[in-house]
Amino acid sequence: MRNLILRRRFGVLLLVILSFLSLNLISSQVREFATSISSPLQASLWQAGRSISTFFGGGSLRTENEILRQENFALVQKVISLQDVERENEELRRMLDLGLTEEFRMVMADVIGKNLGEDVITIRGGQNQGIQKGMSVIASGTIAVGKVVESFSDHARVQLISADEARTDAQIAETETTGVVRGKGGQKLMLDLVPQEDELGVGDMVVTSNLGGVFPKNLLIGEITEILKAGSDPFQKANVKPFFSLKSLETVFVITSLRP
Amino acid sequence: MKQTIILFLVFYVFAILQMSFFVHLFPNGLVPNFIILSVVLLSIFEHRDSYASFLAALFGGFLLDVFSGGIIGLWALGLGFASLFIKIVLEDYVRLPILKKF
Repeated sequence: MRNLILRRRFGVLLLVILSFLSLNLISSQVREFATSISSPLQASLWQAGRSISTFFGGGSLRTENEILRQENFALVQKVISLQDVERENEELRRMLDLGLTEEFRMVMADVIGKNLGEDVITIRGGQNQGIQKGMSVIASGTIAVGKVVESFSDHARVQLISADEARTDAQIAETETTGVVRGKGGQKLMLDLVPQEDELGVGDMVVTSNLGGVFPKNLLIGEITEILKAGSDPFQKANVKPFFSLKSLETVFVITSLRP
Repeated sequence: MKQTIILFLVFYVFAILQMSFFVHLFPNGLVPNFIILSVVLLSIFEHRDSYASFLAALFGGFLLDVFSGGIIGLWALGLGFASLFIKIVLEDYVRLPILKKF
């Protein structure tokens, strides 16, 4: 009798496990359904949380701080662009060729959910707004944020560049040093695969390179905070502090296409 | 049955709150996971014959899976087994007279 009960319980448990695993075959539909029925409540609670946080947390100071941060990023971006233009001009003079700065078509999207544990955000905007899987997402001030990993009809999920599996081709702004920025989770980044002979310095700006094909060139990624050199390793690594702040990320831009 | 439905609703609200409302209230991104906390508390204080905590753990875990973007079932089965484990350990190996079961 006891064996029969145990066997039945084991059977039920097995059925539960198989049911959950089989849901992965239609995970996209399951997530779209859950997101679509939750989004009205989620958006309202998001607004409520933001209002309360602003009310108790010195809203005006925070807003001013945010504006200054944006201006600072814009200035940093300008400096990097000018350095890049200077270098390009030298090359152009040599090659007697002309180059044009790439411009992008972008869709603005509000952030309506953040999963801080997995470095994933949900944005209001999906296939109906032209947002597709694989598109790159930036914040104002041309800061690289992440890429779209799932796009539903009116919502999309964005994996941040700091997520565990995320890899972004990068370079140091002032030099030709290239590497790969790996996500470490918890909004942390690491610059990897930089040859030992290349010079890295604390405070160096890390920007995107166009090698990976996901992000356009020269989007701001972060600033080097610590260089990790190991004699036996053919590559050097560095900890990078990302420029985007997940806490204050309210609106993002999805690059839907490049235009000449 | 009624208790289980209420638990499901509460867990659903917890999952939504965790991703939207609490993000603004807790500094440095350290948002407490109320679903895990609830499953642990339910498993401790629940009556021996009731399996509401196990069902709630599966549902709560499923919500975490759906909203997190990972493999569906990872949180659900993890929390489910954690709930069963707590119940087995408490019933068979721990004697706490102050725990009043409901």
